[in-house]
Amino acid sequence: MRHVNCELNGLRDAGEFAYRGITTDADPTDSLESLSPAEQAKNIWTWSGYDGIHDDSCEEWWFHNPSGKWSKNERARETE
Amino acid sequence: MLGLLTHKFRQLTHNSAVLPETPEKINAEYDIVIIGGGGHGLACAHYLAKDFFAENIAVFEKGYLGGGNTARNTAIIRANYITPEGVAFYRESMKLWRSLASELGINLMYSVRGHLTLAHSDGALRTMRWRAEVNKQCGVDSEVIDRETLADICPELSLSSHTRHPIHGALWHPDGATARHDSVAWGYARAAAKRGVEIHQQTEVTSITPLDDGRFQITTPRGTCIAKKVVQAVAGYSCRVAEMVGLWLPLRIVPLQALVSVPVKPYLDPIIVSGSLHLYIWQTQRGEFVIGGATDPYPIASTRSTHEFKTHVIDNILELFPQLHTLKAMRQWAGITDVTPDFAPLMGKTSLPNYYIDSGWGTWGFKATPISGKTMAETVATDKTHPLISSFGLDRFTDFALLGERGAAAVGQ
Ligand SMILES: Cc1cc2nc3c(=O)[nH]c(=O)nc-3n(C[C@H](O)[C@H](O)[C@H](O)COP(=O)(O)OP(=O)(O)OC[C@H]3O[C@@H](n4cnc5c(N)ncnc54)[C@H](O)[C@@H]3O)c2cc1C
Repeated sequence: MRHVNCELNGLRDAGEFAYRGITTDADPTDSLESLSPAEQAKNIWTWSGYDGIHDDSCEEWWFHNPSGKWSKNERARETE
Repeated sequence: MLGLLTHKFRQLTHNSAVLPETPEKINAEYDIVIIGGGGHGLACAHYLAKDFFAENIAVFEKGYLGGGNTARNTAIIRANYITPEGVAFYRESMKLWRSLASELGINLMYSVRGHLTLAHSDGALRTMRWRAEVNKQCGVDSEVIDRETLADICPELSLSSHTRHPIHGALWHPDGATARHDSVAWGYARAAAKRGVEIHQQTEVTSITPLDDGRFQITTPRGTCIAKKVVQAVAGYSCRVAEMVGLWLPLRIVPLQALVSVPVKPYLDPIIVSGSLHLYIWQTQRGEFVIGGATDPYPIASTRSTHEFKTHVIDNILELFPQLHTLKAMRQWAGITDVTPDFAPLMGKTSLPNYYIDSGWGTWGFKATPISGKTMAETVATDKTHPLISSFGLDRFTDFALLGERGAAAVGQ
């Protein structure tokens, strides 16, 4: 079973989380009201998949559905 | 003498089963380079040569022909999408599919089965009525059917009301079909090669440099060349290749898994899909059940198979077909898919002149192979976006013009 770290609840089953792109993409915790319409669209829709294994370390956004908490996590993208 | 004539006649009419050989070396310059030797790249090459008499075309494939998602998919072909743009596009693809085997001179095992999307709630039935109306308006045969009609079409399906998700009705698309996927890649490859297209397997494009004169320098481990126009048709590798020319694509690169059972006697005729249960199932001519579901929820650079996927789809399949409980799974695999936020394709011209993309095919692009090849070929040859794909451009994400195909594409493939 795969586990993901929630900043509030520690390691939890991956099924409790939603993946939301890499942290260099738009920040999902930004308040939408403060953004221009174009930035809002980018924030909601156009975050990238960033496929494959890249040399640079890469953090990802994960949303823990039960607690409503955003966490930043690093992951071995080749295996899990 | 007669023997010699018969032999000559056979040579002229016989479509060799042998695939085109990779030329010994890469030329210094091509008019068009297509990156990706899957169904889409090869179809584009074929129609460029056939419809537009384009010459000096090379296809670069990093592995073997069709070895990406083309030969990993579950081969479902249908046109019952939900947006008018999507329905019109896939309707034209279905027209091409019907005569494709004779056009390419290869047996594609095209088999019309009918496609059933099950509704497990009133909300799902409402969406299906909407879908059926859009389909009919666009000339696609599609209707909502009740449980009695469903029982007639698929008597094997359990319509018990004592299940977790009882079935309320379904969307019926009689033209839903399947085809042999690797033959599609082979057929297009051979047809393109006959018209002079060079197909280079084991040739990975490792860098693309836009030059000041509008051409591109393309590097591969087998050599470097200059291309006047470049088409990328690399599905799960789309972001990575686009990055080489500084383009950013809003794609989520996620694995999609599938499995196949051991072969049994012919039992199930139509293709059955349940969006709510995240699964689909159909039986091949060989008797194997092909079973698939939704994508993995996050990106991973591997085509590994997971136990979670298998247990999830098998649990739910048994709710629809309890009588399959002794069936053994034989093989499980995955492909890396390129999913757009609105589940519609991402194709056509880009902000970079003479650089074209054919991507955003996610879990649904096999059925689009012929029409995407045709429309991309016209777009590349004339540098004018084909009207059928004008809504599928990259600019829709900055112009707030997303398409909303999710309701009809997320699981049904
Ligand atoms: C399990 C599964 C089930 C599916 N089921 C269905 C279905 O039932 N119906 C349906 O319509 N669709 C389905 N799909 C989706 C469908 O398979 C794809 O959308 C379609 O095959 C995409 O074709 P393509 O030619 O664009 O990509 P591919 O066939 O993936 O071809 C792309 C090629 O590009 C090559 N490549 C990548 N990078 C480079 C590089 N740098 N240089 C050179 N070559 C490169 C790859 O090796 C690959 O061969 C499914 C997909 C999967 C994974």
